Amino acid sequence: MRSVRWARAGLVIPAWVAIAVLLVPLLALLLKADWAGIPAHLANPTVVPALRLSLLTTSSTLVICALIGTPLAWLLARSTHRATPWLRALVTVPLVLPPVVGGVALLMAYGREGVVGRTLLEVAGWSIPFTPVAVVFAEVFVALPFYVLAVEGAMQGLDPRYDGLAATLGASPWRTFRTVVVPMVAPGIASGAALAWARALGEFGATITFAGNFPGRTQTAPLAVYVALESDPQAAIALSLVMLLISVVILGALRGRWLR
Amino acid sequence: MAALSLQTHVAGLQADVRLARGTLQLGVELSAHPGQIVAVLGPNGSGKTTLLHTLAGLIRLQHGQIAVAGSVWDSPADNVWMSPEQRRTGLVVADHLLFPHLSVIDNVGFGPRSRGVPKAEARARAGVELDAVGLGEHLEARPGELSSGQAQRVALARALATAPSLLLLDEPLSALDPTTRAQTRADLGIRLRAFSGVTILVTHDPLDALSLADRLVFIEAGELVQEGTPQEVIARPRDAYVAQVVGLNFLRGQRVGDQQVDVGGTIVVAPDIPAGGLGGPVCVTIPPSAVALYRTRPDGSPRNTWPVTVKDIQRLGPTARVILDGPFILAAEVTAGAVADLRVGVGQELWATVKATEVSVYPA
Repeated sequence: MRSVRWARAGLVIPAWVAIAVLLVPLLALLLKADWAGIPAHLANPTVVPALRLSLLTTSSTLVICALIGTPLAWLLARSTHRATPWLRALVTVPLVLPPVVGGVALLMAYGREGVVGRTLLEVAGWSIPFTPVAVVFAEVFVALPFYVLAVEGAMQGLDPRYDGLAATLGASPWRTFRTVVVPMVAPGIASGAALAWARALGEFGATITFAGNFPGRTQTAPLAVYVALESDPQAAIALSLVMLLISVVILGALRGRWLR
Repeated sequence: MAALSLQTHVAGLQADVRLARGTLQLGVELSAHPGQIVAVLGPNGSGKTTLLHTLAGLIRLQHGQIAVAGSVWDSPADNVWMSPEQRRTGLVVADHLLFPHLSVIDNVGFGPRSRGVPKAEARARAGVELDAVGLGEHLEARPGELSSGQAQRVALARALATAPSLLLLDEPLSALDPTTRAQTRADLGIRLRAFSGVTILVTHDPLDALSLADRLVFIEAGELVQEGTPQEVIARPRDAYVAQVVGLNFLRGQRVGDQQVDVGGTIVVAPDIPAGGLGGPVCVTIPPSAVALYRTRPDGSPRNTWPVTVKDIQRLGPTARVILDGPFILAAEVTAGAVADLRVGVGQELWATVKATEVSVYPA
């Protein structure tokens, strides 16, 4: 009896520690907030442009992920080529890569001296780094794998006989993709989009490395929080609360899939 | 990819399907006139579905040729291959595979839309097809709201809405429960009679084949073992599987006398053995209902009397099928009452008799 109780305690105590690890910081954020002053803090001249930029870049990221990620997910899901597992592994790399390393890699590719960036500058006169476009590049780089893997998972679950059946009805592969596959995996696309958007919203390391931290131009909400913590901690807390709220809303939207 | 297209004078279907796929070696010749319904029967893994998918263009031929309604669809030797969307086929599978996100009318209109028909016209066409299968009232329903029998009729309407030259039915009734199945089989029969193209019906249910098809084709391990009208096949099955499908005991033997066949050392007597050389191979069929069972050797016994051991008993409604092990395996169909009277149990020894006039013998 005694040993059973101790064995239970051996499980329960670490479990409560784990919950505390996750909850204490969030509770602290709520306790330390100057609730009455939140509207004033959010009106801080760096907060509004940062939120606006985050909203703009993350929605652009989402559109780009959907446009290029959905076809990639479909090809990965249906390809039987020997190289497909390797390609899938390649897609996962940015998922485990430290974001700062991603930022350095983006600089090496699209920086003024970069492999592609130099040509872009010479031929078209475009310079990507330290612009809002660079923010989108960084966000797409980190968010796309989340989108592709979630959507590919949903597409794997789609009965492949639908493809053949649509073909016998005269549908081209493109029409089948557009009118059969995409609508049938819509829930998977929605959860992939939510994951990708949340990842893009929180993106910090790759953005600050590749796009810099210019208020109103490349300073996204997470960067603004970091900067404001020095000058105006209550503004940082207010902005953090806004982002926490957004995360909770996304979690709520995914509830049907993950919280059972 | 082959771009060449080839015309032929073939009006219906003429196919010589040869390909290897995994352990399956498929080599089947198949032909049919427009309006004809051909049932393809065979055990699992015999290549039925592969054959169907080859006709649909989902699998490519390695040798041979497929020609339908005046054009060659697949001919490796001529470097001709038409993709599934270029062929005029309709495919119906056991679990209907209706598009769950489209209404019934949009499911049926999907084919015409894919072939470039304007939306309003496609919907009109779909409406006509749905009326033809008695579902004109369910146009805006989602597939999930339909019963299994209705869903299968929608699947048929969808397959026919593109006016195919070749309709492919892959076990169209096997997922339905027995009651729905009988009704849907009847509906299917009515709709198919009005279809002017070739229908290939893959099934393992003899009732589907016998009630719907004009011609039966049996394949086993990728090869054609018998074909003919239902009447021909019932009268003279040439293979144990075919006999099992039509419900007959099947034996092979040698003709050893005017009325005698040697089946593995046992003499089976039959009055009407077609003329032919002695020692020639023959097929012997015995209807299970012609096998009578006795606890003791019957008096003045008929010439076909054999000691047997009960191997298995299967109840089929009011009758029972008793599998007997004697000189050869024999199935007997007896009433449930007879089972009780004889107190038949597995392992029991009985006497089986068959009237000579019930035994059918024909050259192998």
